[in-house]
Parts: sequence; C-alpha cells; structure tokens
Amino acid sequence: MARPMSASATSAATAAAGPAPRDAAAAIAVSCRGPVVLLVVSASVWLVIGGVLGVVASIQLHAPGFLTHNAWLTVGRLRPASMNLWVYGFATQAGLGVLVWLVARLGGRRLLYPGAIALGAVLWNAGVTLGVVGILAGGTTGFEWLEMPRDAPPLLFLAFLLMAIGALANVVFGREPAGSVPQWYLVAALCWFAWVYPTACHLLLVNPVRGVLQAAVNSWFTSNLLGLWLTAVGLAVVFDCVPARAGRPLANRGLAVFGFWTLAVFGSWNGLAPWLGGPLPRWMGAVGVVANALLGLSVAAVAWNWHLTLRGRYSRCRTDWVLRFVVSGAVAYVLASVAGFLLGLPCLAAITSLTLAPVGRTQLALHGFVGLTLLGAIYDLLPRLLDIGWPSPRLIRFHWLASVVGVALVFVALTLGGLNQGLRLRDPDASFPAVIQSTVPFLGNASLGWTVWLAGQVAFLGHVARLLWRRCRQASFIPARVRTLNAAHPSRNP
Amino acid sequence: MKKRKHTTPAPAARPGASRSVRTAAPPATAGPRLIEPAPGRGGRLSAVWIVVTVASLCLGGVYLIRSAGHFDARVYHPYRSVEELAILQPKAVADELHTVGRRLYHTLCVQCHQPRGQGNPATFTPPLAGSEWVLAPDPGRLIRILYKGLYGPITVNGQSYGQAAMFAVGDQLPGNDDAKAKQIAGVLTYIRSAWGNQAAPVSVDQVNAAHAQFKDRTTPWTEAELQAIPETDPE
Repeated sequence: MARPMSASATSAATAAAGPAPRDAAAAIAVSCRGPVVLLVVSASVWLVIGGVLGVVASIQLHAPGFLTHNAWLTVGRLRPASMNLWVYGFATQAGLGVLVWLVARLGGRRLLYPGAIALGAVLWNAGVTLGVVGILAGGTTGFEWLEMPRDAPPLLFLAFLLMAIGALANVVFGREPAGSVPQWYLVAALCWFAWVYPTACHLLLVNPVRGVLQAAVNSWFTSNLLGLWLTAVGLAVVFDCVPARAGRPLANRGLAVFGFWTLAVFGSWNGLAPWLGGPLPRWMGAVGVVANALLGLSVAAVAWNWHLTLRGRYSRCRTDWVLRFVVSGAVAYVLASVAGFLLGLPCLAAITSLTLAPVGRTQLALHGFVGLTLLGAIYDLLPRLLDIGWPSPRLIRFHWLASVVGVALVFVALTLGGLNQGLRLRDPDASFPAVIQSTVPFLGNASLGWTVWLAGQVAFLGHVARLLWRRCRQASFIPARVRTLNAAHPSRNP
Repeated sequence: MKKRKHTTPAPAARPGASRSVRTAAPPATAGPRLIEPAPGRGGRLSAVWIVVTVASLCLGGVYLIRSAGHFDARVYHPYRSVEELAILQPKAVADELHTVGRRLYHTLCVQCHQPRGQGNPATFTPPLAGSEWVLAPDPGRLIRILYKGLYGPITVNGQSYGQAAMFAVGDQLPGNDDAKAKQIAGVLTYIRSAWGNQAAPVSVDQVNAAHAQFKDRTTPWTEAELQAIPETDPE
C-alpha cells in the first residue's frame, strides 16, 4: 500500500489518457518542484512553530503565570508572533506556493523563472525569521498583523515582488489561454497583496497617519489581507479543485463572474464595519456595514456554484482526502462569511465588537477556510511534484479530524465567549474584572481547541518529513540543492 | 477558450492525483477525468442574482442616506447629521454678548479707559484691567455705575482717583430698556474677560434685576453709596 510508485500503475494511467498530456503534466509538475516544495515545506514548518507559540499564548490568557519567567515568552509577544507566523509564514507562503503551481499548471507550460521564485522564497523566509525574532525580542510596532519590526516589511515585499512577477509571467506567457476561474482569483490576489501590504506599511510604519486614523488603516489592512489576498488564493484552490475532483465542469461560469466581481467591488470596504460607534466619522463605519452586507452576495454566488458542481457527488469526500480538505475549507468559508455578516450588523456589532467574537471569526477564516483549502492543495501537489505517494492515509485522516475539530472548538468557544462578554459589558452594574473573569472557561475551551488543532498540524509536518525522507532515499533527492532538482529526474524533462 | 478552461486542470490533475489517491484513499471514482464542458448549458447568470443585487444596492443606499451622516467628517455615532448636531449645540449666549460688548467698548469706553483697559491718571480714569471693582463676584456695583454714572473720588487697586467722573452711559444708550440691558451686559461681560481679567460673564437677566432697584435714580453714584451695596449680593 505504501509503495510509492510502480511502473505498472503509471503506465496504466498513461495508457488510459494517451501519453502526451500525462508527460506534459508531469514535466510541468517537476518544473515547479524547487520553488514550490521550498515554499510549501517552509510554510508547514512555520505553521507548527506558530501553533506552538499560539497554544502557549492561548493558555496564558486563562493561566497568567504559565511560562512567564522570561520576557520572550509573555503573551504580549507570543500572540503577535504566532499570528504573524500563521499569516506570513504559513498562509501567505503556502498560498504563494500553491499559486505558483496553479499558474504553471493552468498555463500548461513548464514553470518560467523558477530561480527568481526560489530566491523570493528564500528572502521571504529570511524576512519572516527576522520579523518574528524581532517581535519575540520586544521590537513590535504594535500594529495588528504588522507587528514585525520595520526592517522586515521591505524584505518581505521584495521577496513577494520576485515571486509575484515570476508567477504573473507564467500567466502571461502560458501556453493555454488564460481566463479560467482560478486564474482570475490568482492574478487578482497578487494585485491585492501588492496594493494592500505596501499601502498599510507606508501609512503605519514609514509615514504614519495621525491619531485614530491609524486604527482605521490597521483595520482596513487586516480585513483586506485576509478578505482579499488570502481569501482569493483559497477561492482559487476551491474553484480549481471542486470541478476536477467532482468530475464535472463548474456549474455556472456566469455565476462565477458575478461572485468574482462582487468580491472585487465590495471586498475591500468592510474593514471599518466594527468601528461603527467608534471614534471615527460615522460614514466610515456605515460604508463598512453596507459593504459587509453586500459581500454576502459574493459568498452566496460562490457557494451556490460549488454546491451545483458538487451536487450528488459529495460522497466523494469520503474517499478523496484532497476534496475533503477543500470542501471543509469551503464550508468554513461560508460559515466565516455568515459570522462576518452577522458581526458586521450594527445591532450585533454593538454587543460583540472589541470582544472575543471577532477573534473567533478571524481564526475560522484563517485556519478553517484558508488553512484547510491550502492544506488540501498541498496534499494534492506534493505527491505530483515529488512523484511519490503519501506514506500514511491514517495520518491524513488524523490531520483532517484534528484540524476540523480544533478550529470548530476555537470558533465556538470564542464566539460564545464573545457574546457572553459583550452582553455582560452592557450591564452598567457589572464590574469589569468580573466580566473578564467570566471569559475564562471559554478561553480554556479555546486552548483545548488549539491543542487538538496543533496535534493535527504536528502530524502533518511529520508526514511531510516522512514523505521527503522517502523521496531522498528513493532518488538521492537532496532538498537543499534546489538547482539539481530537475536534473534528478531526467525522464521527466522532455 | 471556454472549452480549454475545463480541460486544463484535468490532464495535470491525473497522474499525481491518481498516485496520491492510490496511497491515501484508493477509490476508482475519485480520480479526476478529462472533462468536456457542456457548451451553452448553465453558463448564464440567472436574472434572480441581478434583481437581488440591485435590491441590495438600493437597501444599502437607503442605509447610507439615513446613517452615513451625509459623509460629513464632523458627524460621529450616535448622531446622524450636522443639523442634528447644530440643534444639540449649547447656545453660546456669552459669546454673543462678548461680541456686542467688545464693539461697544471700542466705540464709547475706549476714549477714557484706553484700548487695553489701563485707564488714564491724567483724566482721573481708573483702570479696568485687574481692577477689584471689575472683578467683583457680583456685578451689581458695575451695573449701577454703567447706568447712572459715577461722581467723586474712587479708590482702585489702592490708588485714589480724586476727580473721577463718569456720565450715565446706560441711560443714554440707544434703544429700549431691553436693548440697553443687552448692551450693558455685553460691555460688562467683555471687560470682565479681556486683558487678563477672568470674571464670570454678566447676563441680561442680572442687569435687569439690578436695574429694577434703582430705575428712577437721576444722580450719579458716589463711592460711599456703592460700597454700601454688598459685592456678593445676589441681586
């Protein structure tokens, strides 16, 4: 069962579809190997490191004395460090890896500029390391998701530009005509990151705006980084995976156009919805509320399209693990969007803003939607790139179960905790310490959820390590020598 | 091009997918196949979406018209418009009196009391800036002086002004009693807050209440008479 590859299996597949597409696809996969494996494997490592820091930070919220003997291990540093590792180390990096693979595959051509993309990946990891060590050393800037000290963002952006320009070149010079649904999202995602990240860095770090406007810019930035850049990559994965794995074309292309443009038009305005009632002019929050509600159109269109495509074939999730991860991510997208819609309604936002509830919603979007879809894509692409199967289905099953249960626990605990906190805070007679005390059981459940989730990610990282180790033994594959990767498989190079 | 869209993922999806599926989950159905899209089927956007979008945009527009404060940067939650804010602003009566008083001071009083209220010993005019008479908690004496004038020596800040004489400004001001009271309240408000003076503004009601007590008097006040008026007199 665990035998990685056999000549008979491959030749059978080849015979079924004719040799040409199979060889071309294999050549494309091998051409992506260096940069994509580098991106995806480092992302997995950061995911687990971020998870460890995140679990400790979560425990410290209800057990304040836990591991606080050293300033490096206090919650004020661990929490931003773990969030930055998740956002930049894992989600953005794995997103770029999946994106590079998708643009090469959808372009129908061997990856162009793999060297530039690999260099970008190395620089990106250097930037993340620099930034996170800076945060842990106490050099945080204090802006959410931009806590990395001022030296890191230029490096990160340079690395991003290298990878993004390389990826765009693959879209522009692809053999297949560009214009498939995942490609829209991928190209838009690159543009959105290139717009959102430097703008926020400029307005908050380089040439800071004044006063409460900083909070507004910060809120706009976090919501757009998650709601445009990461969401678009996740949607591209789902739109790529669902039709292929369901075995039928996307149900409605017109609906896909509608879903894309509604996201593009309304997606970047909703960051200020939680600020209705805050110290900002009223129109800013009001525009956020409207955009947040209208974004529901995009989510409904996209989800309905997926459902029409998958209708009657949901049972494939039982056996197809990639599809199971991606569909779980898609469900999380819908849930997180509904939660975002509700938390953005003025009547509910008055209760839940500045409580735990929006945090839970963000984690559902980040680890439920973006995380699960990217992990599904990684399960899909690593075997193709390395030409070897996953060693253990049991580990995949455990990973899926732990991820879903963990994220669900975190989301439910933080949402209920936030509602409880918000309702108690409205009581003028309640003492503030008592309200905070009442969140402890919910935070404890969240810690439990994080621990379960982390166990799954550790299993995943171990699984990736086993896969790489097998590959090394099998074909003298040396991951560090990226440049020799293509040479390692001369048979794959036409 | 549309045809390509659906066929593109499929060839690339096959070998690796079949391999990963083989080890992770081995069903025959799971492997993606070459898919030919059904041309012209289900590719159009249903009109329902357009209708719902237009309706949502209208609702959003209504919400923005009602709740965005007309996009004025001065309007904050929970207020809805600049007009609402203007109604809620306290009426700045003292500011209005201050303006009236400053204008009046610089046409009438300034000739003797000087632009900075420093007075003029050559004409026996006592100063207003820092004067204990001006800064008294209750403006009753000032109101009396302004209406009926002052005659004879007066001591201000320890210095005596032997032949001080001030005519009955108040009675000679233009307008009816209300207009006079407003101008006097204005002048007093002004001199009590100008040149470093920091005493409470004087209201028209205070002026009217005090005036009622000496309305029919025809001669100017003397220092001794004024001293008899208590400074903390509520009138």
